[in-house]
Amino acid sequence: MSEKETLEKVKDRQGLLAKIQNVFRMGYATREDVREIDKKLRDLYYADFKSLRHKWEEIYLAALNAGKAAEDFKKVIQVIDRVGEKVHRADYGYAGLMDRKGSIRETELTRVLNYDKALNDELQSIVKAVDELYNDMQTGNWTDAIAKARNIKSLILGFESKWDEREKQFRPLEV
Amino acid sequence: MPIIERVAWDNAGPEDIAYRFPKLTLKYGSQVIVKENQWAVFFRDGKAYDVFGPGRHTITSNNIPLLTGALKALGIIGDIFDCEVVFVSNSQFRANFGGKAYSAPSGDIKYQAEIGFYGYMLYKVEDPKLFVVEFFGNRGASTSRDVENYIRGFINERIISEFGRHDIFEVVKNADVTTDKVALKISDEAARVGLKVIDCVFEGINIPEEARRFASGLGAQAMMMQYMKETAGELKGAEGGGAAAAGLGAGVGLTMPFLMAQQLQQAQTAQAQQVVICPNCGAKNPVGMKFCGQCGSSLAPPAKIKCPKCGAENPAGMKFCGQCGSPLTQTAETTCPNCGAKNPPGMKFCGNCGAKLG
Repeated sequence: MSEKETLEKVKDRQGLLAKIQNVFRMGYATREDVREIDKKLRDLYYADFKSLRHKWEEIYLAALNAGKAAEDFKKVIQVIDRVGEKVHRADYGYAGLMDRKGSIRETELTRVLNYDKALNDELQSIVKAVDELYNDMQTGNWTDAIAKARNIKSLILGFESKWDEREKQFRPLEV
Repeated sequence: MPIIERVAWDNAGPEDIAYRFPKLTLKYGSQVIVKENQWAVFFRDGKAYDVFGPGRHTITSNNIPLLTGALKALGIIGDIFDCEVVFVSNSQFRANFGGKAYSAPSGDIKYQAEIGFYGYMLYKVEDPKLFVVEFFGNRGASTSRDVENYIRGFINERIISEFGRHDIFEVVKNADVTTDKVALKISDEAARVGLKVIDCVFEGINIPEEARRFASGLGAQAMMMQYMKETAGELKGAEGGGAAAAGLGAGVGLTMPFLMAQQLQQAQTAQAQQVVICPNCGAKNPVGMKFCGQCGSSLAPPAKIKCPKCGAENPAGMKFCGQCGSPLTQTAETTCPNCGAKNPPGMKFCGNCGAKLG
């Protein structure tokens, strides 16, 4: 979805007061709405990470009891924590993320939102991989557990590097 | 009571985990400022209503719908209302723990090592509402120290119970696995009060030297011997009507140590029993046997030859005296001229008829 389409969608859902505020304060309400939507999106991602962690704790404990745990099992918890907190605490469209010199308009903020939305597929693939291993754990199938744990770790690290790109994308570093 | 226009938890210290603003009178338009590492939980009449995340919140009926919705419907509030706000920190905190635990009974002698442990746990509040209602609300606790005191109990309990499942061999070999298990099990306990355990770090596990020795196979044998020795000594001391002897006599306390001590006693008895070694094949035969059970040779003590010079006794078959070096020439047996009986050398009268042996 392009920035324009997303922006239209946000504006369509605004109430009368927001529309009046937009007129008098040059689109302030829309910018606030986009920031808030982005924040809500990140909250949802964070909730996914929390749920992933709880599932992984169960998997790890079961693996320890079965004597199948490898070093990657603990690493996965650490990586989930780190990336989850990065998502939770990320800048979402204020001067910290954007170029401070120019004024931050709705389009730039919507680009951030769209970038974050695009990462959903990555996150869902992690959730799916963890669910698969969770099901294996419940059936006591540990044959590919170590390989799967390694794969999950690399999926999360992939998500992290894309998340780190986010800031580079929106904050010009040229002097 | 003055109407508060702005509420913020500005002076949070490094150990403050929560702070209660008691009896705030807010109005529509009041500002609640929640910092990036905080939550604000709204209470009224003891009930937790809304949780605000980071940001500047202007009190309107939109952002606290539960609170205003319920109270407005009952006509309790107009534009001004009283409430309590509890700010909860979302930062990481550290809780120290430490104590002593016993390992599971290990080896034949069921050895239990006393293991000392100490470390710290990193945690944070995950569910602010649950934390405030379950923990903060009743205790009036507000610092991480209070939380630490509370959680230390179940951390120690978990660790003690976890160590109690692993024998000393496992603890010595896989200390990290044991500690990981403890950390994961504590997570569930902590989640009950809205806390999330980020990590549980064991800074040290004190395994006594004797336990380390025990964990090596050779050490285990040595300790078992020592244990048996001590037990046998105690039993010996209790002979003649002591408490232990009485207990054993009555068949009470017939446990592993006693059985082992009994075995030891039997072994000692066997050792004390004298044997006769066969001069021919070297087999051990009980005292009193006349012939070797192995080769049939006579077990009679060997004949000895008296040295004619110094009188020292030498084994039969020796040619020279071991004492003075004189030749040990054996004289022939003397035959009695009267009855014909053979008499040992050196005899003056016949042992059969009494006739003088010339």
